[in-house]
Amino acid sequence: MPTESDLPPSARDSQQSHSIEVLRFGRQEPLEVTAGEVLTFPHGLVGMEHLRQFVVVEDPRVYPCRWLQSLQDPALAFLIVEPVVIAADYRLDLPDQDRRDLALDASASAEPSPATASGESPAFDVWVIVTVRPQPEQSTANLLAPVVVNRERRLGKQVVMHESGYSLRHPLAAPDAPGQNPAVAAPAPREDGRADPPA
Amino acid sequence: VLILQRKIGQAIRIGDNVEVVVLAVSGDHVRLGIEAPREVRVLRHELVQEVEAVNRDASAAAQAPPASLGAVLGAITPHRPPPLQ
Repeated sequence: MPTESDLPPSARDSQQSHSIEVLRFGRQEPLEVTAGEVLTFPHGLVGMEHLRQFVVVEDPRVYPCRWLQSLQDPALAFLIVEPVVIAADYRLDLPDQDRRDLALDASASAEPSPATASGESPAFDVWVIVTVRPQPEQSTANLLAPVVVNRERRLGKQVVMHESGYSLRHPLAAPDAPGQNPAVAAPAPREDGRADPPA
Repeated sequence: VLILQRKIGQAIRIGDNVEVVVLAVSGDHVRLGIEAPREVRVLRHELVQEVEAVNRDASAAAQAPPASLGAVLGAITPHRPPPLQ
């Protein structure tokens, strides 16, 4: 086990941490940020282009979501979740420009699978932003514009998949939504098997 | 702002490889054809504005989550219950 002084400077830098005061549930609380976990969003988020630095923070209080915390604005965070939790068959379509911005080569798998069969991790993470409403059933997830992160390069981007057919405000628990989490809603009743009339 | 007048069938070229053609005009609707390389993304302005609005809503809601948060998290929690606090 190397001691900290044995590590090359870059590794030491990536382990340096500092504490910031973030806003959680309307109250300030400290958050420890390690340099190596900082994500750079060269284009910010849509409509928030000035916000370039974020971290993904686990928090048991919001499981299975996490926080996407801005480092420039400690009061600004998003609730994010893996899309598979919302839509089991979610598909990411990354246009070439987005791949370039994320420094992902064309061979990178477009499947946001949590892990491959060999246990190998994919090159990137995909998150969707959740909007919690006072009425739970009005809460939504933005499936159309997910946040994609190149884990290795620590690069992030909000990708607008305008031809995907996905919704910006996908209900979290709509009984008739396609690709729903079966645990959320009652099982969809089977169609009564009536076939189209023969032509 | 550059202002151009075009007739149906006429085009403008933006940069080296983006071309916008006026295909049809009907009342207050203009039909445009846009030819651009794959890496140039063409989005309706309203869509960008909508994504912005959703981002704003989401961040505002995350700043002070409503009391419904627990129910919402419970509804999307897969397989096992959330870890105890």
